[in-house]
Amino acid sequence: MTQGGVKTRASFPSTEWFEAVRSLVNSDEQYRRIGTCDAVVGVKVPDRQKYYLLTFEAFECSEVKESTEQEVDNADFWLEAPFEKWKELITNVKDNGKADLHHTLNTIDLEDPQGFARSRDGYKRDLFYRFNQSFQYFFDLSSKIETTFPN
Amino acid sequence: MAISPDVLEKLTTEEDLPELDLSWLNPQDGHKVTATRVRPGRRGLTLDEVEAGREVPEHSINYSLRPRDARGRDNVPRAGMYYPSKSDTWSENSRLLYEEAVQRQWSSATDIPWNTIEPLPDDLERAMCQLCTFLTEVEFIAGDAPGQWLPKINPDYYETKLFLLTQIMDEARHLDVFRKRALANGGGLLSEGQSGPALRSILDAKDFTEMSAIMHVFAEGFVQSLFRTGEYISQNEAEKTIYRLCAQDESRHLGFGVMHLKYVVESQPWRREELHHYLDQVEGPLSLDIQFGTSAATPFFDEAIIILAGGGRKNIDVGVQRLLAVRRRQINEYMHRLDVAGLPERRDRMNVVLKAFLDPPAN
Repeated sequence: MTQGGVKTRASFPSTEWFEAVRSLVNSDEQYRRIGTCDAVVGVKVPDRQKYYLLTFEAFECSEVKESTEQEVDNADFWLEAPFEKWKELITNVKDNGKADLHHTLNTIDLEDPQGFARSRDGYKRDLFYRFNQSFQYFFDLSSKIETTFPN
Repeated sequence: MAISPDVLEKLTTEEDLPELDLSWLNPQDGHKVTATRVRPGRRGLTLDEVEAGREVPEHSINYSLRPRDARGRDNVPRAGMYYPSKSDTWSENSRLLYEEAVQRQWSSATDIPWNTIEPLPDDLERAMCQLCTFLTEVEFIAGDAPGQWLPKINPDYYETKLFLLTQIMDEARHLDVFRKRALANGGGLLSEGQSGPALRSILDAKDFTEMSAIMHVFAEGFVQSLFRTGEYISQNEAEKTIYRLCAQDESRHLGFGVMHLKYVVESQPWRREELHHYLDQVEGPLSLDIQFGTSAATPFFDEAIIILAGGGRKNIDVGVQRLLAVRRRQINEYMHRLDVAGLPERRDRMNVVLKAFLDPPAN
């Protein structure tokens, strides 16, 4: 994402980072063409005590916000991984322009015995698979952001 | 050629207007065209929006093609013998899933990055082709089965009919995309499976709920896991995309089945034992696969997954471990969906071989 020719810089995890991706998604015609996507998705970075809620409605990501773990537990499903794994995922997307074969959301999910996508509701967790192309596209667009990672 | 004077007169003379009925313009029940208009929402003008506030009858004696809410007429020929109760075929998410399916269609010709497929080692290419051969075969069943039930869905519950039609389109696309993958890189279609009793029983189902429980919830749940596994073990971006898109479609079918089962359990609780009986019938053959290490669908199916998951025939051990991990995930997710559907007791009643894979219940 460029503003006046300057790429957006944002630190992960932060509301600014998710806002930057949200902004990219909402102005991306290709994202719309994938089709409607309706889900409330949580993001957990437990070792940094960071929690976010991403709301996907119709053809856009309508809201991102920092949240509590309890609120994220009530999302349709949440994506949970330690900070280093998130860093690996986002760095891989940046380096390749999109996730390579070993860093897609689904692959990370199947490699983790506990799962990357988790939910308290078996039906709602299936939204991760039902809209997987949209969520993958969301994270792939983060390649257009200059992401920094706090120590 | 000359035109006769009679014909000429007919052509130049206005015919008398026939006497019109027009009773439909002013029905006796006095419906008025009101100023209430439905506006498109963020998803466009969806069925949920136009149907908001409209009741769906619990029972129907509609045997013609009368659309719901239309006035019936006498002497209309019967068009079919439909299920008479909403509970028989209803799912609360069918409108949503229909609209979603229409929005999220994709093309195997243009949405798959076919140019990312490159020559693979023979064992990996053949394993992928064997998997695709099996999946092509499975998709015949997945398309034929819902097609059999369309004529039995009451027009008063048209949402189910629409959903099944999208499923048939989805399965057609899956059939074609797996065939294309098998043929795209030199491997070709390999061994036909010996379609086992679990798959055959889908076509043999005698009741819609039986079909939905064993196809949508059981079989498609497992196939969805299989597609996700396919994405996991893909060798290129084209295969990744194929399996990811197919898993999305499959999840809609699964979602319909879970919510249909839930609706039946809640509205016809006396059918609980019947539902367990259907699940008993399909869990058995899968448990045999797991016990003896072969698939009822084809003995080569698991082997193909093992080769792909291990990265080749030299890493059989790794492939077996990954297959078992996927199997554990499959069975736990199956149980979680049955929890949502209102059949938590399945945890105790599940086939013992499958039950061995279950994690302890969440508190």
